[in-house]
Amino acid sequence: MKKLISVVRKLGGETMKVLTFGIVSLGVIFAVPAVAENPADLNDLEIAHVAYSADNIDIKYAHLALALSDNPDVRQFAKTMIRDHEAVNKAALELLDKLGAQAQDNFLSQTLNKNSEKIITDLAALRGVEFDRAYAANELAYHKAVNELVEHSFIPNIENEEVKALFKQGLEIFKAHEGHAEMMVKKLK
Amino acid sequence: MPNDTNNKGSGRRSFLAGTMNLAGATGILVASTRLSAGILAGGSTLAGLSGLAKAADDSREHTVEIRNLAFVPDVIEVCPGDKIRWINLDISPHTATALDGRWDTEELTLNQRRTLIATKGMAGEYYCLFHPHMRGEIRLREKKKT
Repeated sequence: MKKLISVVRKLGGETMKVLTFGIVSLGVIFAVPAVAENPADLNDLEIAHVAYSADNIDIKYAHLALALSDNPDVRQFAKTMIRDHEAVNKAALELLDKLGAQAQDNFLSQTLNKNSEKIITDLAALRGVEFDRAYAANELAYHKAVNELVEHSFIPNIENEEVKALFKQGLEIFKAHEGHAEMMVKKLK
Repeated sequence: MPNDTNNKGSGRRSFLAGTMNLAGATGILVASTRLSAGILAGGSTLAGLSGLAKAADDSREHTVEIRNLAFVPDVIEVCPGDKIRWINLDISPHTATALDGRWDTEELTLNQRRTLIATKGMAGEYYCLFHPHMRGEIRLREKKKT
C-alpha cells in the first residue's frame, strides 16, 4: 500500500519538479489526500476505472501538445499517445461491455484527475521549447509512474483473466511509450 | 449488470473471476497490392524455407505478425514478387514503413492485415511509424533457376 501511495504521489510530484525546474513556479504541492481507502482493495472494475482515467489524462496532455507544439517529434509522439490510448480504452470498454460490467469511479481515479488538472494548467502556460521539454518530461514521469502502478499493483491483483490479459497488453504498449518519451526527453535537451 | 458493492475480502472481485474466452477476431481484412510495381517473373521454387505458403504463380507468401510491439519474425528473406503480409495482433495501431518512407502498409489496427508484393526496392530495414523503436528487416534472395 505504501508503495502504491508513493506511486500516486509521483504521478503529481515528478511533474511538478519538471515544471518548477523551468520557468514556472507553482508553489503548490500536488497533495495526495489522506488515503481513507486501501488501494490494495480496489476491485477489477475500480482498477479498470483508474486505467481508463489514466488513459484519458494522457490523451488530454497529448491534445494540449498538438495545440501548443510545433516540434514534429513532439507532435508525432502526441498523436501516437492519442491513437494508442484511445485504442486501449476502446478495447477496455468492449471487454467490460462483453462482461456486462461498468468501470467504477474511486478515490484513485479522482486523485489522478485532480492532479492532472493542475499539470494541464501549468503546461498550458508554457510555449516553445519550454513547453516541449516539460511535456516530454511529464510524459516520461507519468508513464513511469503508471507503469509501476499497473505492473506491480494492478496486474497481480486483477482476478478476471480477460481483464488481466488486457492490462498485460496495455502495459507492453505503455512501456514502449515510456521508452519513446525517454528518447524524446534526451533529444530535447 | 454486475456491480461490486462489497469491498474488501477474498470475494470482492469474484464476480469477474470466471473463465471466459478471449474475444474473437473482429478485424477487417484489408489487402493491398498497391505497391506491386517491380514484380519479377520467376518460374522457380525456393526450396528449404518452411512456414511459407506457395502461391499458384510460384511466388511465396510471408507472414509477419505484429505483436507485443514487435515484428515477428523481425527478419524475412524474400524474392521479388513474393507476397509479404503483415497482420497486427496488438491493440495499438501500427505500420510497417520503410526507414526512407518509400513503402508503407499504412495504419493497421487490431487484426487488420495488409499484403504487399516484394520488390527489390523494399530490401532493408523498416519500422513502425508510430513506435519508432520497432524494427524489422527485409532481405532479398535471388530466385533459383529450375
